[in-house]
Amino acid sequence: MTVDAEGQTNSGQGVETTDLKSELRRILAEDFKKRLTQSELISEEQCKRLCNLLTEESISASDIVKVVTGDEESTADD
Amino acid sequence: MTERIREIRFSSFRGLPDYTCKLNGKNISIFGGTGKGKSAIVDGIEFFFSRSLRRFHGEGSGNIDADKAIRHVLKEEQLSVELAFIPTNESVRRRLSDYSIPTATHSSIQEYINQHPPAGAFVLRRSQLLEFIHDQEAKRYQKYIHLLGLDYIDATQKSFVEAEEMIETQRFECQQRLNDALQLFRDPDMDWTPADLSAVLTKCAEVAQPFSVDTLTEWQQLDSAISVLDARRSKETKQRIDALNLAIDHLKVETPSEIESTVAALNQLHAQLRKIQAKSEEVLRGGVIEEGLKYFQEHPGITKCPLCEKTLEAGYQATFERLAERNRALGELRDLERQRSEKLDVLVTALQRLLDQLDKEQEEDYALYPEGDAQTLIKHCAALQEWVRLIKSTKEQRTYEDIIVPPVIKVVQSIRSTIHNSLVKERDALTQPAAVALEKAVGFLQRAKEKEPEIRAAESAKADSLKLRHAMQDVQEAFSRARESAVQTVFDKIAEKVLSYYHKLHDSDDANESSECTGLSLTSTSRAAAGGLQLAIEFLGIVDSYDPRAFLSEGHLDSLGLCLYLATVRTFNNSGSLLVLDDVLTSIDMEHRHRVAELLLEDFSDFQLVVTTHDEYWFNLLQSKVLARGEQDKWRFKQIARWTLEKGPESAAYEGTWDWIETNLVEENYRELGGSLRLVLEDFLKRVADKIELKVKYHIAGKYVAGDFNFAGIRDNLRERLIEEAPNEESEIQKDISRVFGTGDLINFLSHDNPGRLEVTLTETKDFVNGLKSLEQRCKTHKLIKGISL
Repeated sequence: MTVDAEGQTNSGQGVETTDLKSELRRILAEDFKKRLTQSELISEEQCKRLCNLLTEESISASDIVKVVTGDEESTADD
Repeated sequence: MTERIREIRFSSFRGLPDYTCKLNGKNISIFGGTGKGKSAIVDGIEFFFSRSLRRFHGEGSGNIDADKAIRHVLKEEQLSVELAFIPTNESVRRRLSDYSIPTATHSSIQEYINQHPPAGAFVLRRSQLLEFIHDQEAKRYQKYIHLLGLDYIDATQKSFVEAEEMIETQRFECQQRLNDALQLFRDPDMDWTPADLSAVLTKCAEVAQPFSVDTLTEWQQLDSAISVLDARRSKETKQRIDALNLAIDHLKVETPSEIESTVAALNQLHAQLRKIQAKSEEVLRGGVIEEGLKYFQEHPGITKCPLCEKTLEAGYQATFERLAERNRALGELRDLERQRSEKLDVLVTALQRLLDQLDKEQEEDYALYPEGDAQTLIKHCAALQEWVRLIKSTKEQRTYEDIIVPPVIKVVQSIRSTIHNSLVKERDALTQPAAVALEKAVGFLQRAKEKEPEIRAAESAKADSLKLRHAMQDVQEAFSRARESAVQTVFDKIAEKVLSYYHKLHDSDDANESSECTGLSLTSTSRAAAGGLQLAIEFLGIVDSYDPRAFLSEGHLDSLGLCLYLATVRTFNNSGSLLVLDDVLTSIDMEHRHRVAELLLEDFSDFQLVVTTHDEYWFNLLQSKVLARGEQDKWRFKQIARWTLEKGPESAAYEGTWDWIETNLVEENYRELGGSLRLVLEDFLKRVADKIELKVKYHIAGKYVAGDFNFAGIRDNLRERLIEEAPNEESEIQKDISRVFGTGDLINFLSHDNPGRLEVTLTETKDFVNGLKSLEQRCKTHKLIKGISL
């Protein structure tokens, strides 16, 4: 059985399996966002950018530092 | 997944010089003794999906040349493993030179390949059965994460930790700059150093107060305070003393302490890098691969290699993916290189700071230095600059030689220290005993005036960096906790499945004899980048959360290992994908093998199974279970009789004997069927004799022929048993028996160069074939035959 984006289930030859990888990504992204919004030091914009980073194939440390230090915004403004 | 494997073709691969394993889209069980090539088949599957074999890499693999080890020792030709699929008739071949699996034309095959996790997640070998149980928590976690194909989670976690380290390094540097600036105000007699800028101002007020400076509470008042003090000084000496004070302050700045420690850390990294470099030729190409990848990213769609200018045979996308995969494989190297690059940056920054300080001193203070010392310093500075240039160029190289801190750094520091003492001596000599306190106060205030902007900036940078660190800590903590929670959700699901499988294997019908493992947990134990995974069981409901090794027998641990693996496969792998079990049931007893067979047939019916074994009992048991479930159409059972270096594995009977007979039972070819008919007849007789426990003259290694069974009276025995089971069908049974046993020399005539060969008709041959088929069906119906036909 796989759980799709809408939470619908599909049976696979009578044996149940769950698409845990997708579920894991979803739980991770939601929980990360929830915890970030609780921080007084992270702005809404930074929160959005950091959550966007999680959807990328891979994230580098400097990408994260850029968002946290605000360098990304100044680069974009330039 | 709609595709299944039709056959696997091996060419020059390990012990398989030129071999095809036919599955026809079914599951396959392969039986053969030790050294018959079973594991080479499994190796081939692993090679196809990952290009490398896990046991030739990593810990304990010694100095095995992995690429050499997977070649056939006699074959010079290109090594390859090819998977042919059904229902599409396409095949995909992977050669040693293919760093990624070649792209399939059919999207369904590409989907099949893409949906398979890393090979370790669907290929289980006996030696790996206990790994999850014996592993340390950290290792178990890493393996699990890799098996589950969740490496991206850890890679992301690592990036968050690295980001936190980068911010912390920035904060540390800000703190260091502030400390260095405040250190100039240190009073060694009082063992006092100001904590911040306001402490400097307070000290200014304190030292100026005895000289009628009543108010010094704001930095704006500093100039007037200096003027008040200045008016009291000797006009003849004050200018010289001021210059000396400045020079002395400059000389108080010491050689950056991090130079020595950074070089030591760099040398450790270099030692690790040299070790990796010695193990793999690929590492030497690391730089080219990285550069190549960058070039490909910047030039999408190029058709020629930028180096040799030859056309990219595999095309842009395949070449790009291959480079990316090779680059990923060098992950450990890249990580160490990143750390090396960071350390080199720290070293270069520290050295540059020292050079800037020396330049400043040369420009402002050298005229005050004792004769000769300035020239000596200039000479040493040139040597130091040359070393800094070398260090900078090291960053671009991948030679990883040890770095030796040149003696010139200590020599320079020693000369500066001597000059410092000399200048202090001169200043003190110029100062009248009654004016010592005044001069000290003036020196302090002037220093404060000079350094105030620098300290203010350093304090501001420190405050900013601290705020950033807290923000980064919040971000890192948010991800760590989110990761921990998400991963735990997965582990809880797997643990639930493991326990249900364990119960399936071990619960008894006897209510008093239940499985001793009554609970099981997989708990993520650390939020650091390298996490841990604790495996614990509840033992008979009495002892909770304990290492299973403390209570379970070796056999139970084996089955727990198997349950862990199968639960992971069931939870994560896609329906229709492969599951390969290479001789994993050796240490599990008969009763539990029955249950393993049932578990595989029940819970993995949507997978394509490849099960190898050297255990004939298990091979037969699986056949019986398949027969009992009426699933013989979903399985192939294959016996490997022998293996030779030149030919590889050879089957007890060549594959698809019945298919071969059906295809060739035509006028043009039926006379070539003698050997095949003999094989299927002997296979049938052997399995019937085994089931009805016929007393046959013993032959070692099962080398029986049809005559042995005929002499033992199989014909009459079988006829009587079939009639006993189905008396109403007596005449048909008699007819089938005579069609098979009454054909005299039909098989012999067809097998030999004999005039009788020409006398055998197609009708007679068909009659024999149909008789044998009918008889086999009767035997199956009345359970008078073992196993599944060839």
